[in-house]
Amino acid sequence: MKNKDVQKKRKPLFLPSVLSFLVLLIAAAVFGVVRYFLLTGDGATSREALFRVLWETVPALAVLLAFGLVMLILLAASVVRPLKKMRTSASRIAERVEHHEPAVAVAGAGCVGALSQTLEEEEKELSALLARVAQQTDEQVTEREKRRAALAVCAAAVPERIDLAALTYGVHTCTLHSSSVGADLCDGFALDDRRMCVAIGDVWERGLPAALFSAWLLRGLREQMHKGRSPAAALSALNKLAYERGDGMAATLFCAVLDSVSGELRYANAGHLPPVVAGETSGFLRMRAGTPLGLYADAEFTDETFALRPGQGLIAYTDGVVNAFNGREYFGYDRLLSAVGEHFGNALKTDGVAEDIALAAKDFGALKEDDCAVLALFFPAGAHRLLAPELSELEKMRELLEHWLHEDPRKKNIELACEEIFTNIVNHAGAKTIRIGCEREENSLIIRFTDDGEPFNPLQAENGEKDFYSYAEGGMGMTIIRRIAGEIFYRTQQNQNVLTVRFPVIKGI
Amino acid sequence: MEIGKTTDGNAVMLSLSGWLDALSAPALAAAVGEVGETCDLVLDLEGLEYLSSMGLREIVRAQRKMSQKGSFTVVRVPQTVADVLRMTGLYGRLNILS
Repeated sequence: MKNKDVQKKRKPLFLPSVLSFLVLLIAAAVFGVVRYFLLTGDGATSREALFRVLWETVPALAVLLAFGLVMLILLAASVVRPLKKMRTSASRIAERVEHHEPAVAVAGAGCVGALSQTLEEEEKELSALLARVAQQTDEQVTEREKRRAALAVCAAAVPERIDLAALTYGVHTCTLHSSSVGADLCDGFALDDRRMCVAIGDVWERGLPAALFSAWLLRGLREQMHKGRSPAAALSALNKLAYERGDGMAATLFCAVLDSVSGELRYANAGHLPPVVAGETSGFLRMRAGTPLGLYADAEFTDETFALRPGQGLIAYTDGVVNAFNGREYFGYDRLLSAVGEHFGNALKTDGVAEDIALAAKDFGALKEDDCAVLALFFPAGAHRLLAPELSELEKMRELLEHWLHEDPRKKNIELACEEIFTNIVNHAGAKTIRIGCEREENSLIIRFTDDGEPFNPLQAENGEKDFYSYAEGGMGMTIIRRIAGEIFYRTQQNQNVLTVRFPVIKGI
Repeated sequence: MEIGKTTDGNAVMLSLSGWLDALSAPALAAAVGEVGETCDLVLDLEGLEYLSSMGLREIVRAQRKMSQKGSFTVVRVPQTVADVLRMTGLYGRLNILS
């Protein structure tokens, strides 16, 4: 066994030595042959040449071989001996372990004993840790599930897709949920073709029960408002129901109805924070505080009115916004007013105002405890109308444009561009409702088409030169629109197609 | 939109007045449909106040229909209608007599 092992160890050294020896021999032979022919070429006899070659080669070879041997010996000393030594040590250790020799075992007993003791302790700690982790995970999973359920209820209660009628009046909402889902409620819906109802509130609870109560309230409010009740009457009815069946739950709620023709805002409040009237200057809407719903059976609510001027809007919010805390200060009402002033811009920019304000509060301080909801309602300084996706509705659209454009010299061209856009939507988008809105911005006219059909970007439609007869299949509409309009923008917003066309002051054909 | 029809031998003249838009385009399509492929069709646009792409489409269809065996001419094009034809690059493509 031992010899075999040693042989095995030598094998890697043996082969290179033989190989280098062979290489030396071949090199010497080649040198000899070449030298022999060179010498005979110089006129030496073959005998002389042979002696000369041998005289030159053999001593050199002998010296090289001697050098090689010395190197091999040195290599063996530096590599093989330590290896052998290691092997011997290893077998000695193995023998000792096999026979439980005390020399090793004494130290081993201490180490291994201590180790096993430590292991036992660690195992205990580990089990405890694992149990804790498992418990925490269970709790976290449950919390996560609860939060998910609450969010699902919130989502179901407030349709993410605010209906087109709501968008007609520039209603935009943004709700940022905190970790505990405070169940803020926020809604906007059309009552008829000129009145729009918005509501915002905050349930005084957290999690799933709050979300359910919020959903129940929103449904109730829609029911009441569609029955033709005034905001105060609706809040009264909801308060009664919440008091009787709400199981002690309470919520603040602000409800307002905007007459889109006159700009009259009729509203009532149930303990919610006063909304901001946004415009060139912004301030808080004056109103009675009212009482949160569900607390007192005899709570009274009052309808109040405010006349919004064209271009003004209403920004309602929940306490999560003003209570956003950065560790030193609250977001507060002053910052809210500044945010409204900053983000409530012109007609084209109002879309994102709710989100911008909510994010401003969120960026200011983390929403640890409460949700943060913002609702923006805009009373545009133009005209707008909802249209069915039928060509017969063209008449209605023209009526609106005629009324709005009066004697504007661009009237016919604008009507033409609008017809092209309208027929495009009717033919391609599969929409259920189309909304046209007209606004003035300085000297430009802005007409915006919003529809709830499939996402369809007419600007990406073919716009190249066409074969003349292919026009028989249509496709001239976009050419016309592009020639008349100054700028055209397309985007999708809350699952709606929004095509905005800006007609500049002078745009010749 | 109103469509007047005058026939003189093999020639048929359709006189359009009012608005030729998405709503009235089908009427023009029907009127052109009644005309035979071999006649000389003349479209008189003098009374036309408004023209949209749906109307343009029908005019191009009429031109295509008549291109094989008959002829197609557009006459008395008002300025506003001519503007739309130029805008869409069709003015030079149609056989227009002014």
